[in-house]
Amino acid sequence: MVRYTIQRIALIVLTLFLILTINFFLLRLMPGTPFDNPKITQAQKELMMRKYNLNDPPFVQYTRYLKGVLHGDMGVSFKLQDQPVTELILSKLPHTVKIGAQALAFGVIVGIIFGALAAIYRNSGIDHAVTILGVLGVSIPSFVLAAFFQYFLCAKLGWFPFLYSPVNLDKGITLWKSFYSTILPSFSLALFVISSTMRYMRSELVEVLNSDYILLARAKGLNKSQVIVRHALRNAMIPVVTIIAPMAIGLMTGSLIIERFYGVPGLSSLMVNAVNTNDYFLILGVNMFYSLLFIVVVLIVDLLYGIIDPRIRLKGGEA
Amino acid sequence: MENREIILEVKNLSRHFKLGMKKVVKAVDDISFSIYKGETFGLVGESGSGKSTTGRTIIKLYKPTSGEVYMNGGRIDGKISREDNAYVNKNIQMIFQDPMACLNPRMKVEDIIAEGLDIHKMTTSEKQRRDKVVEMLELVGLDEQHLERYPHEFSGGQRQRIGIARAMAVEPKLIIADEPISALDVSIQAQVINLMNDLKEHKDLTYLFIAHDLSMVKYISDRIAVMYKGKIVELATSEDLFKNPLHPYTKSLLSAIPLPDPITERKRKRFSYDASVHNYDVETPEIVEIIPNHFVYASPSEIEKYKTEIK
Amino acid sequence: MNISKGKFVFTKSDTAAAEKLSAVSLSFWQDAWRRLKLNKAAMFGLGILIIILLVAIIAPTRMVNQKNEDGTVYKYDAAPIILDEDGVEIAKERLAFLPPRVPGLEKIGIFDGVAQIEIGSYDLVIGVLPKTIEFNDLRKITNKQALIDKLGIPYHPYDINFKSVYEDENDVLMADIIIVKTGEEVTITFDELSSEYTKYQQGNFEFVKSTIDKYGIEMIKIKADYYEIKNIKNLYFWFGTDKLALDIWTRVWIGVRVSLIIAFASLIIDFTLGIIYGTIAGFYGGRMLDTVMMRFTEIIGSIPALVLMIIFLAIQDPISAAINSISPVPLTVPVIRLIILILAMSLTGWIGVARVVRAQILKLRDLEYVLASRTLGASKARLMTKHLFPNIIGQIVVMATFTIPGAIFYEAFLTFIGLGLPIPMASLGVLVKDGYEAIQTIPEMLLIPALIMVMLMLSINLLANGLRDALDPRMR
Repeated sequence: MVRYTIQRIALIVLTLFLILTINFFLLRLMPGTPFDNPKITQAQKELMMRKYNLNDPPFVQYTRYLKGVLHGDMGVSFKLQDQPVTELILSKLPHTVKIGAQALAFGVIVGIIFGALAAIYRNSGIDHAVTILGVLGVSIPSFVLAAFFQYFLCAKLGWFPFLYSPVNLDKGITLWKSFYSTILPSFSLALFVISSTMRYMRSELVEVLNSDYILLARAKGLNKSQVIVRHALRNAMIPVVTIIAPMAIGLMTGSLIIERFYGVPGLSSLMVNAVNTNDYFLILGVNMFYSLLFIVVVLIVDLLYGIIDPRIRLKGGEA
Repeated sequence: MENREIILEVKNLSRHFKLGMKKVVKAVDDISFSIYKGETFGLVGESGSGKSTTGRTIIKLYKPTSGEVYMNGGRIDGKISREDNAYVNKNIQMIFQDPMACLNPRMKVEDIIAEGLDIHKMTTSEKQRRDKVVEMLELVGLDEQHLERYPHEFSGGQRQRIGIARAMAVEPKLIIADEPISALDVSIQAQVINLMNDLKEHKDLTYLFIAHDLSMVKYISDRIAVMYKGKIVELATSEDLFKNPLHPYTKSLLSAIPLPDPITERKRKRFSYDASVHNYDVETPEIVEIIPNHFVYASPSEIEKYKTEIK
Repeated sequence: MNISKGKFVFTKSDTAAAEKLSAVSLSFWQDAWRRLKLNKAAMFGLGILIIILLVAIIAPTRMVNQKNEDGTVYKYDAAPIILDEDGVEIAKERLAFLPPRVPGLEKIGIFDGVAQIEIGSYDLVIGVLPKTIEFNDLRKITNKQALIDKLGIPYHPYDINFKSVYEDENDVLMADIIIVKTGEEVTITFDELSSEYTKYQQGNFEFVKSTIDKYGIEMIKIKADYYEIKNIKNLYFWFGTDKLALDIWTRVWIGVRVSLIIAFASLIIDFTLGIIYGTIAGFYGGRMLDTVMMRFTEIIGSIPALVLMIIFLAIQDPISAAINSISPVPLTVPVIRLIILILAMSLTGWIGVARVVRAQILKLRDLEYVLASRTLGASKARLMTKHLFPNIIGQIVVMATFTIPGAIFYEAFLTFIGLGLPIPMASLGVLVKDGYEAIQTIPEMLLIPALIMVMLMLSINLLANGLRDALDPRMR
């Protein structure tokens, strides 16, 4: 188990390092400089370039950046008045993570429950509803859903606020109010999580329920719910954990859009603006953070998998 | 007996598999034997004894770790010329165990059987190809109507026969049957075995018959070799093996054969084989011919012991 | 126990009859199609897909080859040139931002060219004043009286609040207003109340509601008949027009084409690459090569696709230059953007394909029929083409079908955040982006392309589900 964890962490560090390097050198290929604004004179441009050490050979810049990162300094944003990239990111990160985590947690839990119900009551009304919802959920893109919600639930019915508001007691936005404003964004993101989880859980549980050891448990005298809770669910859930990682990617892309629709001051606005304005360090920083977020999710999933699946736990690594 | 032609000779054949960094599995460990033309040579052992691996190594699906294989006097193992490889492909064929997996589910029966013909360009026209395939089908007790069908439309016994037809199409001299009937119903087993015997007579074949069902092996084989953990522990004619089993492993195998006779079943006592009865740290064992054509793998002191047991 | 042979007698010896096969033989694909047909949802999806495809092929061509009234050919990425009764070209501003209008459907009240908007009372009563120095002065809040004198209207919009606007028994448009200062209610014809510069007149709008927002400004909700207002009542734009006066009906269907082309192109690239990679790793390579190749995919695969795409798209200028230099034919900007987008979307998809192909090959390699072919002397190529591929292709087709909706979504997504195709190109993403920007005024601009996109993705998903079940060997 320990060896397994160490292996995973080593791989992560290697990957992050690789991403950083690739990112950095690719960005140097970006045309123009951050200062191609026609309003700036050539002399000023020169000054800026020198100020940010952009004229040094690439490798020097690279090592300098690397050293900085190890100290937590990811450079400064050119366009946003020299604010340190790390600060910018950290100020926006909580919002993105909050909504993303809510969506993931909510989606997975609901998905597992409904998927299980659908498998247990096969071919019943619940099963059909789940199947339909499953297909719909992956066919309706998040922005369509968001637009739909905003049109009907916010504009027409007024049940939910249009925009997300972070907790701000001065302006009278309590914890509850802020949470309420996260419901729609989280749900817009969560729908496809629910659908994917539901379908997967259902198919896994159906297969488990048809297997011989379940039949044996029933033959031994356990009643249906005992069998399901004690044996079937555990085994079916294990593979479901594996799809959490790819769903995290989907959440990331979804969040870029959802944040726009609902006015969430998260990483997406940073990212989009940075790309459009050649803001090197900012792009680099946000990319790194997205990768880091994703890798953390993968690590958690792997560890979770290692804990839940006794085959891995006992054999120390390989299933 | 001794002047019979040897069609296949295996000398000190070994096949080792590496597991991970350190462990090595010696599936086949330095075995030697010869097969005479026209005989059915039975190779028995429990799962993991190395019998299937032996068969597959001979037919070049695996590369031997060491040792040599000769056919009709010529070396066939390892890297050989293209003509020699083609020779092996045409003259040694294999019948497999699992009727479900031995046929490509996406190919029609005609194409399955004709594959050997196509590879070796043994026919020159469509019609000739088809005729040859029909000939093979009829050989195994099927017929023309089965040409355009797919494997999943057939029963296990029929599929096995299609597999035999496929092997026969290239006119081999030696057929290695790797547990060909283990997956079939008993009545179908009899069908297939009888078919194989018929073919042997009419087509001048030699069989290496690999199995773990001793009573079936006795029925069909002329000579039998018993394998245990990669080594041949005893080799004799089927009669001799059953009458005079010498190696303790052989004895335990024979004691386990059930007979459809309640009276003998009552009296039958099974005893298991305990490898620790041998003490090979002190003396090295070898294959020794104790009585003519009866070989045992034993250490010198054991040889003495066995000699006294012979009736 | 010995039972003599004489005690057994043959009952039947006709084994030939046992060998007869009676059912019709179906090939793999025939059988799959038969099973697919039984799946109602999948057939429904297939039906919708075919309808969408047919419309996408037929609908735009009608328009595209239509000649403008001045003789030039109408192109979907340019505004149509239409002449009015006097033979003068209609200005683009008049044709922009029109709500959808379909002949026939407008009678039932949908797609009737009417949009519900919210305007200030100033816009309703006074409208847009000419840009002369005189009027500039009169706009000032201190000159309210002077303004209404100039325009010849009784009240300044800031002094009144609307209660309602309706037609009386004589079909004359009347306005019930409240004078803010005195609270007095006055009824007056709308004609008298409004200036000559307002575009809202009798017959082209309908009053819905008047609200006072938090700054004290009166906002009036009205339903405006844009076609009437812009005096182009003879024209019909089925899905309306966008801000550049481009016809959305045409663009939607061209958009479907483009999105599908992008999806297919990236699909083909990914699958070709993935199949080749997986085959080499699983079949042709030894243990060493296989391990190296798989480690490589693991590392690349652990970088989120999003990150790679964004980087790729951020450096598109040097890439465009590179593409241009290796292309035999000079390429236009839209085509280059298209190519770049397709490449970006293909960056990571191949990894999943390679993994599955490799896993399947490893599994099939040890099956007995493959071994049998090897003993017959089959070459590696023969094994690949006759034995391995045909048994993998079912899975590959299912995988491919499943990735199409994802690709459609990705294209829309990338365009939405500004990294995909630019206007005036047409793709579902571009249309959704434009539609989003107009969501307050003409929600149909977003809803229509969004709906078509959803239907497309839904139908393909249903079809893919059905295909997967139909090709599943366990159900045979």
